[in-house]
Amino acid sequence: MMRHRWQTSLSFLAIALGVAIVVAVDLANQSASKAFKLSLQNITGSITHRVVSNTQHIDERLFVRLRRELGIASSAPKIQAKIKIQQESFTLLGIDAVSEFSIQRQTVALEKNALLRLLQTTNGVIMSGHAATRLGLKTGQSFSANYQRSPLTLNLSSTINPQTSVRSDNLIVTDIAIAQHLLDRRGELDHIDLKLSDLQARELADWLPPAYRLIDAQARNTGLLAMSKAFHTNLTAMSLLALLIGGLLIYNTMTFSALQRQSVIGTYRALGVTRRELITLLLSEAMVLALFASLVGILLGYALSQYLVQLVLRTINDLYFSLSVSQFMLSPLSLLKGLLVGLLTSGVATLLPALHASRTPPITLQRRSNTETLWQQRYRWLAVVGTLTVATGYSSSLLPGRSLVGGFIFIAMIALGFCLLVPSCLRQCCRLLAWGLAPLLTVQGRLAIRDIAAGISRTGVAVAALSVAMATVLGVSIMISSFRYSVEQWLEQSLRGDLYISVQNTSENGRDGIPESLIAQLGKLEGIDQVAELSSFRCETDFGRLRTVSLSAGAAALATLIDPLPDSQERYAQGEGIFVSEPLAYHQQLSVGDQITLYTENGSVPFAILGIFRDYSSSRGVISLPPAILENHWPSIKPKALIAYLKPEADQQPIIQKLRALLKTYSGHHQLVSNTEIRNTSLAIFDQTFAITHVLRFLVFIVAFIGLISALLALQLEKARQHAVLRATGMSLGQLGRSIVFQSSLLGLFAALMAMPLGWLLSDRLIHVINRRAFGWSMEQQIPLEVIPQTLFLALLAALLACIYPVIKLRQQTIATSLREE
Amino acid sequence: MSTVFSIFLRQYLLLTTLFVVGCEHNTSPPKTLSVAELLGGTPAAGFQTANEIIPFQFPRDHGPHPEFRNEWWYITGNLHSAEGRQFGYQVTFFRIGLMPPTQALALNSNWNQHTLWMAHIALTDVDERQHYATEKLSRGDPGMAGAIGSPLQVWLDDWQLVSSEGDFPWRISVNGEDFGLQLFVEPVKPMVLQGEQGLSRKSATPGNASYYYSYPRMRSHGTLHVKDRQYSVSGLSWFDREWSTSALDDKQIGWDWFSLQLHDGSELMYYQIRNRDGSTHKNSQGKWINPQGKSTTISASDIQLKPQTVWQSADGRDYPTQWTLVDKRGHHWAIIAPVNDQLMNTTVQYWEGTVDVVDQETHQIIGRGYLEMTGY
Repeated sequence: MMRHRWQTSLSFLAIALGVAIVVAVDLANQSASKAFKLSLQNITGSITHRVVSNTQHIDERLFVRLRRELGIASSAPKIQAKIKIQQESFTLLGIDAVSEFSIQRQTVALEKNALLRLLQTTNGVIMSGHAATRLGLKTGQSFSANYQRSPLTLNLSSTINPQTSVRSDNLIVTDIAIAQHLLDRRGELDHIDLKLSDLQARELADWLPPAYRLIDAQARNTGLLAMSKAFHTNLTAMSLLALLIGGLLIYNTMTFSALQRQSVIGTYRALGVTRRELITLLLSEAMVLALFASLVGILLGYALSQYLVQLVLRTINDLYFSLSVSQFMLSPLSLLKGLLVGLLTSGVATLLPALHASRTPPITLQRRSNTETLWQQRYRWLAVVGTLTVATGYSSSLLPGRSLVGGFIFIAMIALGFCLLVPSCLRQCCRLLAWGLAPLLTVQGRLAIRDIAAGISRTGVAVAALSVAMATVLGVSIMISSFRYSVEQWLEQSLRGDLYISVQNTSENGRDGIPESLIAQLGKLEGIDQVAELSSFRCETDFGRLRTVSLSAGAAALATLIDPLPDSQERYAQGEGIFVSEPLAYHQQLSVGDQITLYTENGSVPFAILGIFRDYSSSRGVISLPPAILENHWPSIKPKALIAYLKPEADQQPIIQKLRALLKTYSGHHQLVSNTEIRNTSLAIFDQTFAITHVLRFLVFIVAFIGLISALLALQLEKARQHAVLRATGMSLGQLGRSIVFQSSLLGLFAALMAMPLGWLLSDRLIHVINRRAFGWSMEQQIPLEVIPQTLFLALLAALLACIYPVIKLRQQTIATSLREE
Repeated sequence: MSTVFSIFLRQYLLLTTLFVVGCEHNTSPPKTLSVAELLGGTPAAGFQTANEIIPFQFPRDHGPHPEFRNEWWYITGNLHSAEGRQFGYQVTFFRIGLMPPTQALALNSNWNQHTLWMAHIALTDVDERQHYATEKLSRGDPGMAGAIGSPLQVWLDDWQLVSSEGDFPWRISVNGEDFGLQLFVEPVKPMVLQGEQGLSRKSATPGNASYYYSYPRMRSHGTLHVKDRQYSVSGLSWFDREWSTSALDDKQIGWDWFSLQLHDGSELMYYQIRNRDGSTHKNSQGKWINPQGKSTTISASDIQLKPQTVWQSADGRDYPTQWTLVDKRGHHWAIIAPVNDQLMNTTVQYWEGTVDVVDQETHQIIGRGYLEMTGY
């Protein structure tokens, strides 16, 4: 081991890195799912039921009636909103501490008198000490936040005791009166949490007015968990990918290490060392190395996961809901998994060549050519198995199915099968190249190409590892770019209006909708062609609470329908039915002509589905109602926003200025945004969401790079004697160096070329299988052309970096020493 | 008379340090507090204090006085069913001002933050030797709890004390976990102004006083249920009204309050304030009310109370459940709780229960009443 210091350090590094990736991704995944579950617990706690509204909100008088007429003491009102502080999402939760006490929820210790202090403010809030530190806030400090784009000024009244075992992050708690005041929602509640006996629940369900509904808290949790399942599966797939790449990396370097020493093994065998002794010796050596490397890997993975967790949680916060807990879970299982991957993979990677070595006569072992002869025979079979695996994986993914895990298995099959195909492809490529470039090639050039084919046991694995890694990066890039393209297209289509205005006019009884006068004034503004009213609320359905939108009559449709029937739009306009978004249709297996039950202000009503529209705003689904249905079934819903359509020749800027001046004359919060701003913000959120994939892409690249270095080094250093012979016969050091660089570049080039079709195939499956099954979104595959030179550049860069060390090594060796080594 | 409110207020301050946002480990609110913590309060700024005698006006003064920090409507009584089954009951509504209404914040919300309500109900089933108690807490607005003077209406959730037709009888309607009461009560003797024309001084410190009046004898009838059994009941009740701002002074540790209704038509109310050093505070006082409703003040020197038998609660506190009373008029009574465990195991812990008054010479029960013990 000490003789091959470079090989040992490389193996060490590979194992450490492989283990680190497995541990990091696994820890991040564990923390995220734990955070998800804890958040649900935080939100629902020990409650059994919840009263929700079929409209936007619950009238708080319902709560008073619940208490006074039914005497249900175990009831707690809630009001909540998603707010942003320093670009981070938080849930602002307004509670009544006294009601919470009667429901006997779990508690968190606060500083003494914290609540009384809070009640003496108009904008005081309480957050976790951890969140306060992260935001750089001190108790008593005022800070700004954003609620639906309106600015809020909050004051950190106190923090939740950091000694409690869970950090309630991304949750900001305040008194219900302060929350109503801040959110300008006098008289409104979002839900009422209850702890009821079965009898009480039945009585309450009967008693509730039709606009309200009693739901089972456990069922609610299940729904939310299902929502997060897709995300969790994606993370698990990432963790498996890390496991695969980490395992491959370790296997790769350890196999090289074992093969490298075959001649030494032969010598040992010739000296009389038994097979068993030999295997024990090799294995124990590998295990000692693997153990230390794995331990280092675990530490590294731990450090890396701290960063990954933040990214993962941020994604969840942005995509799903604000996690109230963002704690880091140090799961022993993840650490153990990392250790096992390190040890087992190293063990297997050592054991196979060791077994082979122990069974072969010593003299054969000392001959390197023997190994290659064996490989030359195998690669044909590998190619057959590989082709079959790819074909099976691909065709299975075409079958109708909904299992996300299944989808990932098929993709893994495609990637694995491809790995098996690589050696064969590489040989063919070399042959073609040697033939095609024959007139141009120097002797060294021909030798370099031949060496690749001759040393297929090393080059094949290295190129396979590099190309699969590159292909993964490529596949994910294409998928994200296609996704982004589709989102852009969709934004373009759905943001047909030019300016979006929301006004929240408040009165004694709560929000009153948009003042009529504003609509009239808007219509009169020069340059404005048409004004439409947009209503948006959360509607209760059997599939949970879904965002529901409705645009006033005469306005252009919000989004384009997928495969519309000829009379879809017409029937919709007449109020004969509704449209649902693609994810809702996919997940709930709804199609045009089916019925969907919505809980309206008049109770539950079935509606016909007239069309399915493309929508990327929610992976759960969105419902679009025609104005007639909204008016009949949700009479209390008032428009929340206005959409102004400008005349084609109108200039946006002066109109915006006039509008701003007009809005200032109305009290309450108002916002004015242009479609460009909405589009840019949406895309910024999109990019932020996928930030985590950049990190993974970088990791994959590092792993591939190390694999390639390891292969090149093995190849070059093995050729030491051959190089010495060549130099002895007159080849200069420079010529030899160029030959190494040429060979390495060829390997990089081949890897990149092979990565491209695989990358395309992977992206195709990611888009049509994984995205579809996880989110229900369909999108157009869009290959960004710049990824082709990028891939080539990365592969060549890895290849060039990888040959630096072998070239240096070459210069250090004298011809005589190298010749004597044989 | 009960000064549970002041305990509660302090307790609430502690209680509110336990906030409900979810955590893995359960932190239950401390059930008991040290006596020093209970009684060492300073009056909250902005609230009025009871400094001088004021003329009460009814029914207005049956209603709330939010300018004072604490207030309660307190009914205790002894009832019996047609078949002779004995019950004691307690129904209390406490109002606790967190801040004077004048200092209430201008929030765009109906959930005013200045008032908190607490209600305790209890029933003692003497024959079964069982005591049941339930507690409710709520903030007042937007209407879960509150009080109106004319006509009287005091409520917390569905528990209520209301004047049925603008005047007497008053109707009590409460339902606990294992029991419930539907009672009508009306006074058979006139109202008694406690202390000095309704100003009841608790210590020498000015303002350490409350406004206090009682209906010492109210004819009561109605129904009650315990678990699955329902009873038609009748008997006598005692109604106390008190409002104040300041707590007792630092030397005072707790009190024993007796309201006794004798079979001869007279009543005795007496509260003994205990000092930290074990002595009786000189502001301990009471009223002797003769059958005609004429009342005479009793001071600490007029009466001698001695605890006899003690009962220990699960948390190790000794409550005297048998007392002897000797007064200047030559009475030698034993005051005996027929059920030892009448502990109010509520947010604030205290002992409150039905007692029998036994003449020490004849060994006859000559009356019944209620006893409240705090600060043990």
